[in-house]
Amino acid sequence: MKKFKRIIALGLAVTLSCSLFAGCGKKDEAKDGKVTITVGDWPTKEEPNYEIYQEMKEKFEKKYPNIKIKTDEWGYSVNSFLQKAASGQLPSIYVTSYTEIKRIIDTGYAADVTKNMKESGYADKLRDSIRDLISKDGKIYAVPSNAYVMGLYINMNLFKKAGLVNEDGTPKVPKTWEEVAEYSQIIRKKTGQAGFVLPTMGNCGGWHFMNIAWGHGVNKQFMNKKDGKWTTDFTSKEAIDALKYVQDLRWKYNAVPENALMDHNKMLELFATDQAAMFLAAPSWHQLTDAYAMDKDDIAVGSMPAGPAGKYTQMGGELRVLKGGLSEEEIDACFKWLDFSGVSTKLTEDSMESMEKEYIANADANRVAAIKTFSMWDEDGEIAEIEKYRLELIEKHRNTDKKLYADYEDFSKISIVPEPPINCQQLYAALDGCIQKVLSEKNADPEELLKKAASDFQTNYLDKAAY
Amino acid sequence: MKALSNSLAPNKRMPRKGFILRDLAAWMLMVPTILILYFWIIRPIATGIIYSFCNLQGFEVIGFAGLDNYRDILSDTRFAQILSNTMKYVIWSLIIGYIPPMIVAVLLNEMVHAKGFFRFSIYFPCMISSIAASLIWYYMYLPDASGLLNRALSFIGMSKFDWLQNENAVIPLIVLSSTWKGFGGTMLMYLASLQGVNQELYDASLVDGAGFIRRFRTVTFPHIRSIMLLFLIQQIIGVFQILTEPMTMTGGGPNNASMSMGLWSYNNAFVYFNTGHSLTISVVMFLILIVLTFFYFALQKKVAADE
Repeated sequence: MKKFKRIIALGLAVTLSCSLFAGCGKKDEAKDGKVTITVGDWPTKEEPNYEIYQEMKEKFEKKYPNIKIKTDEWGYSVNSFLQKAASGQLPSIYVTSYTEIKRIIDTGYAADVTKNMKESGYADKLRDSIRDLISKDGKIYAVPSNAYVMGLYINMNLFKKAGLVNEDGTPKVPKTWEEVAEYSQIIRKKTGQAGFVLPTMGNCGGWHFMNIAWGHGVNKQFMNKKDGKWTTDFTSKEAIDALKYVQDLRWKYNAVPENALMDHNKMLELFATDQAAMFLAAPSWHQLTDAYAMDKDDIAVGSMPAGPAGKYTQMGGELRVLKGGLSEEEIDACFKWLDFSGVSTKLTEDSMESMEKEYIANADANRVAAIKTFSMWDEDGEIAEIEKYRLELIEKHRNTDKKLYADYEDFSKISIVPEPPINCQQLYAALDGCIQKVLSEKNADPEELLKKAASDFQTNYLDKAAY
Repeated sequence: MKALSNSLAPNKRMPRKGFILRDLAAWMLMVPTILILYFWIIRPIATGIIYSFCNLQGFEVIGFAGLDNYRDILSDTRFAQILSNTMKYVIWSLIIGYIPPMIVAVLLNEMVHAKGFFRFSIYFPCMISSIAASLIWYYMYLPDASGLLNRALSFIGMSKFDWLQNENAVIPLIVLSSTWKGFGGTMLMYLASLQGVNQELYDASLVDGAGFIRRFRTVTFPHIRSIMLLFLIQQIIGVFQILTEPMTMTGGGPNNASMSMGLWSYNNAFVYFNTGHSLTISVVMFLILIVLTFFYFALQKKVAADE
């Protein structure tokens, strides 16, 4: 009986202990000589491009019988990236944006793709500023798939109600920050709604503020490097003027909503539901039509307004990143998939088909299907074949009035500025605080706030920066 | 007592192997618990402490950092403000959230009718997730005319208030929302404890002519005193780690006025990917809580001795 008890106890203990380890361990080891790669950001069944991706996968696997594609619906988000990466669960290819790549390279979760990027000619054809962004110590860590510049989104419904439209139906796009304030006053008077909305949380406030600050003449990097040491440079008169302008938007012009704690989603919600007439963003935001059922024909996009010092805007875009630690065969397989799906310099029949289908799916889903994007290729060199085809497709699949985007699509008038060189998210966070304060307190002193933020940023980050 | 300690003392004549084998079944049954304790509690804490002395790339150790991370965190210009914010959360939670659940439990215990209804109604918010509850309150606190509370104020002819974007009010307002959500669970525990009070004591006190206050002081309070102490320390430890509410409602704003140690640690890890600093903040929090917990044990010992 005692022995029997022991056997039961042993059995129980083993079962319980084993259950602890359930889910651990490596799965799906390729045993048949096949290379398996996982592709992230796979559309969910509800998304309009799901069928296209499934079809693409089938064709790809037929063309390359040695490569097996596994799909992963996970899309990059700051809140889940590190956990996914640390547990080895990152897909072989994942999508992220230009703003994220520096911190990803620093964590070591991006594979060195220099060899493939050079062999494919990708690296040479890119704009210098984009190549710099995805490189560290001469090595390349990502494959850019598009580029964009920020512009001014316009809610046509509110602009029409406020009488801010030309005879041909195009919006009167404010050309300067002064005009943004002026038009906002008209919108508030005629519709009761906010003319302009600025996000203030999650480092978005600082990110958007950059465009206003550069327009006012603030040092483009917000800092300087001398004798190997970084010092902040955002307490100048120009910077104070820029922050004062934001404060005036709230208290002098009554242009922005009263809520000074505004996250990015709340900003989109206000715009899509006719509670705010303008915001800064880079097209296209499908969330406006998908989540808030905004009519695609009520959207127009203008060029970034100019400040006293000129018209400056940030560049952004999407990148494909390969997970760190992949084998050479896996990296090759990933590049084959990228070529096949249209993230490439080369144009193939397969990529032509994949690209066109995506435009069609977006149009079918009643989204703004095509807006001219900023070219990521070096203008002096040969423009990648694929870019020419992309421009053709955009003209072919436009499902909105071209005139509503004409101001934005003229990229000749703007100057592109890259993000600050180091600790840029921390800098945005510091500026978020200043913006929240001037938007919630009428008597807050912009100069004092910027000085405090600059001194904190210097002590907490720049003094400790190792490069 | 002597016999007991003898039986617990290791038998010098029995070899170690025998000691394990004698209670093999018991040891075996303890294995899963020991493993859980090791993998989910001891190992993460130990790793966290060790990693806080290292240079990290993601979660990979790339070198020994000595006290660098601690120097960075303790010399950070925001450290004092964030620690003081966190203390404010704790103090406000004790003011707003500590005594009321006990009062409501006592009242509910005294009620004769509709006890079940009130018990359920008060417990109801506990069933909502923290994020959802925070969002409900975020919308109630909106500072423009669309905020529910501002509508209520305008209904009674008062002017609008700026709620969460008021630096002085933001912490008590966040605490109020989290108290609304957590209140029911604590109240139910008090109620369970009150149900355990011998009814005869109440009857006897009634016969002696004791009123509600006297009955509470002489019968109810001594009974729930130990559980109140337990809740005190639990609340301090819980609120000290507050994260979800400020993250959802204010993101730590306005201008860091509601930034807590927990949110700061979270941001360092998941927004700035600086895991070393994040773990260091967690270790600092851990040390502060350890001190408070020792204080709690000492207090508990004193209470037990008094009894």
